[in-house]
Amino acid sequence: MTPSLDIYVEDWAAGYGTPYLMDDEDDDEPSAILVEDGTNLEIHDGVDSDPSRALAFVDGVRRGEAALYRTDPDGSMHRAIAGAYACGAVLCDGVTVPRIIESRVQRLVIWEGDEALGLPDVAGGWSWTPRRARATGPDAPLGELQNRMREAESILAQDLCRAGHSVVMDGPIYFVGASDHDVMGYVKTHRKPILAPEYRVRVPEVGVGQRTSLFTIRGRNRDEKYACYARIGRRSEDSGPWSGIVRIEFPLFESMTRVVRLADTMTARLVRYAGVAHRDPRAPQNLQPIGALEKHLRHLLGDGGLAERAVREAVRIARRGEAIV
Amino acid sequence: MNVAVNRVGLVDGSVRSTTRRFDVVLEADSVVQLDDLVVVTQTLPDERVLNHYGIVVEGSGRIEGAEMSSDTARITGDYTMPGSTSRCVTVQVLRTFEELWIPPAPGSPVHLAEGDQRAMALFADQMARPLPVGLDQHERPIFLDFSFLNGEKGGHASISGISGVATKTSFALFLLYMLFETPHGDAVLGHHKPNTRAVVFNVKGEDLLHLDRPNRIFDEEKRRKWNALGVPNPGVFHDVEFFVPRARNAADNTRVGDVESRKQKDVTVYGWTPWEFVRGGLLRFCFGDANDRNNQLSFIEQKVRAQLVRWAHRCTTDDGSIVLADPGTDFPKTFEKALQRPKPPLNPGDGVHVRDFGDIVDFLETVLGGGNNSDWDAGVQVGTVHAFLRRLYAVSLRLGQLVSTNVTRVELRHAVSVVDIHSLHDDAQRFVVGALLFQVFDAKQGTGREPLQFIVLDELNKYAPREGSSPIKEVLVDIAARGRSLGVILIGAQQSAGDVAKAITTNAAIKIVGRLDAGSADDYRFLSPELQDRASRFLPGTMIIDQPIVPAPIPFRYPFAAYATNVNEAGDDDAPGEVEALFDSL
Repeated sequence: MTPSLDIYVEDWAAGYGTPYLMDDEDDDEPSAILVEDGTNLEIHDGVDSDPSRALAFVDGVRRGEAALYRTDPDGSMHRAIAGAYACGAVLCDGVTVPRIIESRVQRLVIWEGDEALGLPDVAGGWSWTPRRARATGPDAPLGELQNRMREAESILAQDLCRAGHSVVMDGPIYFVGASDHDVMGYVKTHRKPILAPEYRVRVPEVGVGQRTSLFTIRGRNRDEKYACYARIGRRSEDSGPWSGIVRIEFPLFESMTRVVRLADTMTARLVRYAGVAHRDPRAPQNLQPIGALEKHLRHLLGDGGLAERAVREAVRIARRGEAIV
Repeated sequence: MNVAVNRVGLVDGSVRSTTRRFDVVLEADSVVQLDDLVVVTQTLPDERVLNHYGIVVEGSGRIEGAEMSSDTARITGDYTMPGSTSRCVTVQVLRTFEELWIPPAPGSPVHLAEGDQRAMALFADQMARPLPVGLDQHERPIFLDFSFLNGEKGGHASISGISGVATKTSFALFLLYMLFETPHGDAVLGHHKPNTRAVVFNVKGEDLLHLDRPNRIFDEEKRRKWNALGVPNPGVFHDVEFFVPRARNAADNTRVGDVESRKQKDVTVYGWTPWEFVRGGLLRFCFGDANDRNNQLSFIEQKVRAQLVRWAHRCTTDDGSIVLADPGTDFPKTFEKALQRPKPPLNPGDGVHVRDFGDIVDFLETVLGGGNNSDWDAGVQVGTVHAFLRRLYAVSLRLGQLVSTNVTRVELRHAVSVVDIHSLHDDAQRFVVGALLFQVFDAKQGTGREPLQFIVLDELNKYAPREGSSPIKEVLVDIAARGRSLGVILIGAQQSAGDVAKAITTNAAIKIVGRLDAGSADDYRFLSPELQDRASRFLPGTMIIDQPIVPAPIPFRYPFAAYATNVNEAGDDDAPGEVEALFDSL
């Protein structure tokens, strides 16, 4: 008898890697604690109990546009990145054309070390706000750009919550203050084994529009939050067990009853926004509004080649003596 | 100058704007359609203000954010993807003021051109003699610069369009109506108006024999459009004479017109007496088929034409008949010289008395039938002589009735003379058109440009085809070339400009295009590709005008006629006639 081979093909285009990055050899202790169904991991059907509730999807993009170096007289070198990020939101109410309700763009030059030097403005509307990377190391400036984008997303999410919107952030909940009730996180990639192995093996049992029991996890900032796994897209014959599975996160300060209702609603609701395979290489996890928003935001960053040319021009002006501001 | 306030959008910066064309991205609440006129204003670095005037030639829309066709449903039906609809129009530049060759600046605001701005866009301020010829879709007048029609700066009009959608002749009549019956005509024709004349050839049914009668289906809505053109009381042609050919079955030397829908008293029967036929050299128009020029017939025709004028004496009966008698060898040989030599009238018995076309044919058979008569046959082969005679027998049946005593030739006594040729054989139609055009053109030689004489001729391709040559084509080409300075203005119509002699279409300063055959677009390069395509879908009444002063063709609609343009439309205003008819039937 031929042994069966469990070989699958990742749904995402190869260039985008795979959303399932969990390492079975990972030594980290799974941190999740089941909170909904006692010690059991159950499967729940999603139920949209509030169909009229509109969702604002928030996402951001960033781009390093030129890497800069500065050498001090003592020979020490400081790195910087000139780049930009944009974040925005799409409002989907299910009954009108989704619309981009907010978009914010920031162009920065970020230095490692203690000094944030500016660049002179260049014709065509190019200007850079000088910032210092809070971390150290060669990757710190780019990392800082990423963090600042995430912060900007959080600020936007909070602004939208205050304006009365229900917000879905693309990625884990991040920098969310206690007063921001109506915000959820939407995580496409699975890096760490959060659940204990005996629970984790059961996650692929969720069907489209279903979710696992809720559990609590600890985020990067050590803040606790609720989460569950849900499947938002149909698994094809070739797809792996975790195909179309995402993690939805909710702030811990919500009442359990409310989180259950929210989780059910989101599990049911997100299915309709699932990405479409032939038009999005990260389908189905990359949601349609998010995919369109990312494209729009990248467009707002302007032409990358022009941005690089502007940086070079700024550096030339600075070098000619008008000095770094 | 009024400042345009109706902003519709911005010059699209995502595509190139050029000195010829640019795109406009419309604002959400703007409604802009094809043919709308717009103006773009920009301030140049040297602070000069530059206006671009243009006409909308194409419109487009798309959902920005939709990359695949199926995204449309995601955005507008499922509401799962964002996207925003953008609507754009493409504008063809008509005018830049001041005249600087600079494209519109991307991002510049675009306004609808209204009032003075619209006049600027259409060069109305530059028109020496503006004549309204139609309405745009907002029912505002579109002007023709009459100085490009009357021969002053240009002359002649060429109207193209497929048959059956009632556009070509109707438009020509509309133009005549504007000239002869409205204050606009008074303005452009000036003090020459009372002596201005038009000849209209009627080629279809007895349609144009009712221009003096009101149109039964004319109504208030249609009147409103005339009013918009500045014509308060559209009505009928008041000064018009209808000429119909002498009936084929008319008894010898009687004057009975070939007409059914009008009474004999309402029409004038036309024809040519033998004297007029011979002295006018009209024999050549009996050989009006372009194919006839490819053989030797023209040699013998020329000889016979000259001989007839040498031999012809006016008859003492003074009824237009002639008496043919040998003038002797001393008499001038050429047609022109023979014509000038005075000759005394002869009695019918003094020679061969010719009273109609048949008599001429009989006479020619006598002098040519025997063969070898070089005085008459120009020394051509016997076969050619026989071919000539055969041709004469044939045309004798087809147009013989038009040459007779006691008929009147067409004289332009009234503003408009409608000459009916619809019932005639092709050969006879060519004969009438050729003879009449020659008559009109000849009479104008040396008399100055004004008063003008308009000639409205449909099916121009029949009389002046692109290929081949014929006496009529020569007359028409001559009119096209010289008529402008002589004040003989040809308003020619044809299904396709490509079928007509190039010298005629290229000499027409005003080009009017109605509905086009989709396959004939090559001949209309002055139309943009979009207009060529649109013209194949035009409804009756929609046309395009191309005139030298405006660098782009402008579509327009002209109003429905208040006068009858066919029997069915002819209103029942003929009460006295009805009474007469009653008595006639007793």
